[in-house]
Amino acid sequence: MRRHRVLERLLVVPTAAWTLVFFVAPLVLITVFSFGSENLVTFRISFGWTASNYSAFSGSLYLATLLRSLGLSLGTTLGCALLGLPLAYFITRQRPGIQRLLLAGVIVPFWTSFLVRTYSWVNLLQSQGPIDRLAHGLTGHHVEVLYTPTSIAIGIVYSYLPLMVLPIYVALERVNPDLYDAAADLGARPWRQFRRVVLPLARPGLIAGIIIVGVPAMGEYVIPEILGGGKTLMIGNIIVNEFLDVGNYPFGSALAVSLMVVLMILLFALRRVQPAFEAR
Amino acid sequence: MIRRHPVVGAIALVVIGYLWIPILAVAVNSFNRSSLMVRWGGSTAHWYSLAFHDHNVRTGLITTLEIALGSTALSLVIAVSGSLWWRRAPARARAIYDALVYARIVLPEVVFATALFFLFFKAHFPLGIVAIIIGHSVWNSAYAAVIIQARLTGLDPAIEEAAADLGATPWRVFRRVTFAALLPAIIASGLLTFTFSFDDVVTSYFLGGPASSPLPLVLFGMIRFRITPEINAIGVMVMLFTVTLMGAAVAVFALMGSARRGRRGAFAEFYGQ
Amino acid sequence: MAGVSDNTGDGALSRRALLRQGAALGLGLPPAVALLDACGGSSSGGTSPKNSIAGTAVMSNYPSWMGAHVIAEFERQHPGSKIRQITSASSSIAGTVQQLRSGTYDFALADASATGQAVAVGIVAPLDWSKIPNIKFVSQSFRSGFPHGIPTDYGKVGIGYRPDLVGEKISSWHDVWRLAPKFSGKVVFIDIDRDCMGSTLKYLGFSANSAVPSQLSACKDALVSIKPHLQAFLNTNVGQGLQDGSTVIAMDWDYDVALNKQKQPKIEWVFPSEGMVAYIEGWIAVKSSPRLPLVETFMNYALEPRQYADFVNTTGTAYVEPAATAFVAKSIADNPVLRPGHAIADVEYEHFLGQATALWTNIWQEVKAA
Repeated sequence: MRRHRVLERLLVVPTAAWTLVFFVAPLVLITVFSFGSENLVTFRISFGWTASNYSAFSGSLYLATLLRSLGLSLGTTLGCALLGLPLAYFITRQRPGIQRLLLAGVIVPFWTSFLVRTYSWVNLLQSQGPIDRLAHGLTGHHVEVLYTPTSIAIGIVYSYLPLMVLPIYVALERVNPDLYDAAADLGARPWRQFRRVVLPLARPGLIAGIIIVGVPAMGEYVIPEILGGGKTLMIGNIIVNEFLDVGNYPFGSALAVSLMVVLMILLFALRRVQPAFEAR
Repeated sequence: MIRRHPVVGAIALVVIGYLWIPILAVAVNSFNRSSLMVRWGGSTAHWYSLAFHDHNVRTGLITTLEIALGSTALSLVIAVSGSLWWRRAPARARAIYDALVYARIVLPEVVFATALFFLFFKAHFPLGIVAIIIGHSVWNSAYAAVIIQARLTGLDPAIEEAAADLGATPWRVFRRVTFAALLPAIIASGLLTFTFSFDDVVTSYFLGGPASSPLPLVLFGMIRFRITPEINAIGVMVMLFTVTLMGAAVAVFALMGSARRGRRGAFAEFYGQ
Repeated sequence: MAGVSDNTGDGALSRRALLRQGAALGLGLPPAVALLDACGGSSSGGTSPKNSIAGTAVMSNYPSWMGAHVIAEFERQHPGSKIRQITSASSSIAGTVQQLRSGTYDFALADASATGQAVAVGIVAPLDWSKIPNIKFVSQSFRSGFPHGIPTDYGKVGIGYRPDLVGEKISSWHDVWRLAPKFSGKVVFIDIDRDCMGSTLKYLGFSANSAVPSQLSACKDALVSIKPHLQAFLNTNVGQGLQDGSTVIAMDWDYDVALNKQKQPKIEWVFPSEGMVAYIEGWIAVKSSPRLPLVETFMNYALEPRQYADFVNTTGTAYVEPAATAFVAKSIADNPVLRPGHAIADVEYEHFLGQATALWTNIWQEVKAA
């Protein structure tokens, strides 16, 4: 029996070792080295507990990039919520067979390659492309939106939308439909019904969706790289550039750490509102 | 269907259309004879044959498969052992474990990738396929853990106790009862992590080094160099592959979910609600 | 920023590239290929001991920047020796040097700035010139300009535009900055720090190799001010949009405009009146490489006039070996864009800036981040 207990304790070793060595330690490492500095010509890193990377970051255009990333993330999360909430609600109001069909319609695109889906927007949004020609045909104006923050936003909303729909669906799905009928019987019009009944019930799912969409979206790299034309960079691109292009590891670390801190603050605040999000 | 909820229904259908149109556009354009893909130039399967014969693509595919298999195996070992421990772990340890799983799922990949890159740089650990496998398994193990854990908590411990009471050794209990019950979750999460690995760009970019090029990076390079329908062709084939895998995962998932508690089971378990 | 692909230089990939470039150059391909065939198996270095250079040398190269047949021919003549290219296009000079530190490459394509920085980092291997006798074919001026390796080509950054779509004549960088708001979203700049910032410094009347912080700051402001009107920063196929008019004005390399002009005659090239930044680039060997003899043999092979001409015909670039002219397509050898034959406004070659490189790198990152 004792040996059994010991063996059971040992079960945590793979997870503990792996997480410690390859997750926690690297994060600690970059935090420590974010206080170092590097000669950008010879790439020699010297370590001296200087906060110069952080001050360089805060006083310059990089801060603007962080804010832009925050803004894009907030905007796209909002976009996902606005599109995803009605969709999730609509699905829950269908018959089970139709529900499954619609869910498949939402999820299957998500299973296709993320890279390819993002790339597809280059062709759709380009000048003389289908959307441009459609808009020109309908309104006479050209739509030139490729390589702008708008195209990045479209790409992010597109890729992350299923992640918003699913948790809201799960939250709403357990609602007894009689509740809606009762509200209707009591004279509530559809919009009021939605606001007073659906929204509060959807809230846990909505918050989960906001977390799952908003937090990773801030650190996006691929979408701005493909849809940004080298002009519109998010903080993820800057971090990658600093590491792989410039080779300024301490500064890149400072950026990564700053991003992490901002996100942990956000996460903390959001979890306060949503304590039920835990694997039970 | 729509008549009852006109506004919401309209939005819903537009959104679903929005989700599908780019994919269909990629598929359609993969047959476009015109390489600029601005207009339809007639149909051809030329791009597919180009993709098949492209040396980079073939090497990339093999590299990606190796990485995905390695990372999946590793992640499953970590996730299963961790979840089994979690069942009888003290509360505080559980809290730490949960926080670490949560962090690995939610934090942006860019942060892990750069941190690991720096660690390998400092430790003079060579970049390449092994490094990518390690990197992928950091977050893949978290996704697998969530699914397996959800399945485990739904397991009635009484069955295992009964088996033990009947004289089965702990190993036998594990093999015949626990593992058997876990198998669907293991398969489902294995397919999920395989797909994630297969599709990954950021971690592979950092940890692959210049020499190894998994398929997503080959694609990424092609996209940045010049857009041609060959990319579409490769994209369509990749999409078909991952959709098939994920479809299998969900089938397994649904089977185990519906076997236990009805259709709500699968998603609810995944989201821990 | 780097994008990676792997060309082995033979097989389907290079044949395709050759056909594309060949069509672009309006070449009569048969003559060039016949010449190479006529040479048969003659190799420049005579009988190199094949065993001592067996193995695979890995090269870091810009996409498609290699003679279409050169590697295949070399490998045929030296069984057991292979050249493997890993191509990428980095956005900053530091990026190229970074790659060289990784230990993956044996040699690389690099320009003067990158080479200078690589030397400062200590990763450039001195070459055994006795193994590269064909260097004699390269003009002395280029050899002095690129002493650490073999020079392969040079070029300058100017303007390519569509007069029919712009409606007026462009003759200077000032015109570009002035017209950008009018053609917002149809202007493309080069995504490389030395070329883009260098040209901007010229626009402002400064040296393209400036290390003065106030001048660089002005350069940053000028780029940030035009950035909202740019369609994109590109470092491959920069001028391609000029063909269909989706790009109307491009800051572009001479060879790229020349190539696009052959497909779309309405494209015009401009030597901007404020001056241009130019580059010399070539191949350098990486210090830690165990394959130096193979690298040197390949370098020598690539400099043989016929092989070198294959490179020029494939890329369309201005070239450094007068002896190769006999084998170079007329459309390149006599191209007024590449070799104007008359005095043009000042062309300033970029070179390594020492510690000032750090300043440039930071400013470039800020421009991209803005």
